[in-house]
Amino acid sequence: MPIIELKDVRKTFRSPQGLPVAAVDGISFSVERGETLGIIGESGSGKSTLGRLILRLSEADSGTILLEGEDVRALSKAQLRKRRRRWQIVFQEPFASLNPRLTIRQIVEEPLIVARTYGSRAERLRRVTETLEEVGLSQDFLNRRPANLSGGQQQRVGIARCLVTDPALVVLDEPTSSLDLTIRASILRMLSRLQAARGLTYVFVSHDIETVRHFCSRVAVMHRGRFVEIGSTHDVLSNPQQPYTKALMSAAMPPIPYNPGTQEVMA
Amino acid sequence: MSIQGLPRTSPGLRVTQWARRGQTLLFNRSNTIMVALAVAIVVGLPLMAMFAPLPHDPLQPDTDAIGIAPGGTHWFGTDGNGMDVFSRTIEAAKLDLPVALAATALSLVVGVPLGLFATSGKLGDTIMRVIDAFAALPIIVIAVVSIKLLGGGATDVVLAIAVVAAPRFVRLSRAAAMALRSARYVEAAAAIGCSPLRIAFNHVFRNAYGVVLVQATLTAANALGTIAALNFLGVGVKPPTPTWGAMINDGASMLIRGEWWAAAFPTLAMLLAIGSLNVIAGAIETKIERVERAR
Repeated sequence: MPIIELKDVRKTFRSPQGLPVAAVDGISFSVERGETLGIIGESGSGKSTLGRLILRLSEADSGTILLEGEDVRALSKAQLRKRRRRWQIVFQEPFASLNPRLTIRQIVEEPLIVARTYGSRAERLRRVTETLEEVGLSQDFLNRRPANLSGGQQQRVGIARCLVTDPALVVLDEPTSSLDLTIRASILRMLSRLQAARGLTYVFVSHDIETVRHFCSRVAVMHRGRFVEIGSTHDVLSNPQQPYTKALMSAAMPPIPYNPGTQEVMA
Repeated sequence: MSIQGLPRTSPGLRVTQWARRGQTLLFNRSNTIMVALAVAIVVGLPLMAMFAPLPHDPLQPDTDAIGIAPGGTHWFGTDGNGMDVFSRTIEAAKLDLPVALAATALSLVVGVPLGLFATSGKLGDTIMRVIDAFAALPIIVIAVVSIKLLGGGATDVVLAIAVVAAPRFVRLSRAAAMALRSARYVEAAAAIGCSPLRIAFNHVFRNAYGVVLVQATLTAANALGTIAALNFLGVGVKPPTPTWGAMINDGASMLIRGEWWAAAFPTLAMLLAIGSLNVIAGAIETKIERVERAR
């Protein structure tokens, strides 16, 4: 049984002029346990919206979303809240996603408090400390606040908050795009290590082809609310079939800085 | 920083420097002292009225001592009934300040949750329209009418003032909730499974309580004025129980004979209390700004 299964999911927003804009326009796919699916596309292609729809952080207009076999759209608000500890998300802007008034300890402990099944205060603190250590933060961070941390450390806190309840599925919404290159690499390595250790399933939303190439087993290319291509990372990125994928790839910064003759104009 | 052709120290410059030094002394270095003093007045006055021995019985008229000027036996003089103005001024704090604070607390407890949850939906819209309707009514008139209707004890005054003050808190906390609703960490809180109640208090209110607190102290100051106005108009607590407003009313009739003390001292006490609350509000505001800047 796939851990994620989407069937013909749609979501339409209204533009400021009142015109309908299809952010997600009839998307279907499935993801197996332990897999990493990358979703790439340019800004406004609907990839972040899709990530939110999967977790029902935003309501889909139509379609079916099954997570671990459960129809997410049919759950009541209270049922959904109870299951949130299994299905988590890491946001793009690490600082904005952490409540500035809370300490790191309070931030990472909150999912445990909300879930109500993680025992006593001492038990929870032990879990928080362990999880922080797993993402590379020592006990010294427990009583600090987000503003006193670097961007990389803030994102580690964001990852700890999502992992502390032992989720099965994590949506990574451009988790490294606001970080600089060296930190980006160490965060990605850490995410891979955690995936192997915990058997996590990732949905990795990104606009960076090189990151996706190294991080994902499968990739979907999104354009104007639709998947134009989906397949194994190797197939899609080394032998793109669709003109849009080709254009997207040639628009990306090449790993070898200049290679004349491969530039194509974006559609 | 000297301008060519002008001496380094001119009288004007020196005055500016003195003024600046004075400002530093008043607002920075002894800020803590000012705030401590303000808290001491707001908390201490009622406590003094409750526990400290007053020089005279505040409710006992003395027909042999009517309208005596301030002096050795009667520090603030006596009023038209021969009652000791000092004792009454202190005694009034026992009623006026707690009533003002209780009314503020009540409007806070009612107003803030309403505001946090009135951000969207039909219920939210309805709440806001009712609040708007309230805001259109003249405050003192509502207070006078409702206190008359309710009977006129201290609790009725608390209720009336709370009703009048609550809309401000609804608006303020609603504005904060609206602004923070789209904050990323509020979305993150929903993503980890927080209930709307938990989000409202742990995430939204926690980042907005500063402004609400400032507003609360200012409301308390305002309430003191309103209470005095009500008692001045003879609505609310019945004589001879002393309140600053009623004392000012009594003393006003003596002013024409040049007997200023019966009205002046309760006025002074009221100003002191209101000023103290404003100082506290200012201190909270500065503290918040410092926290904001540290982010």
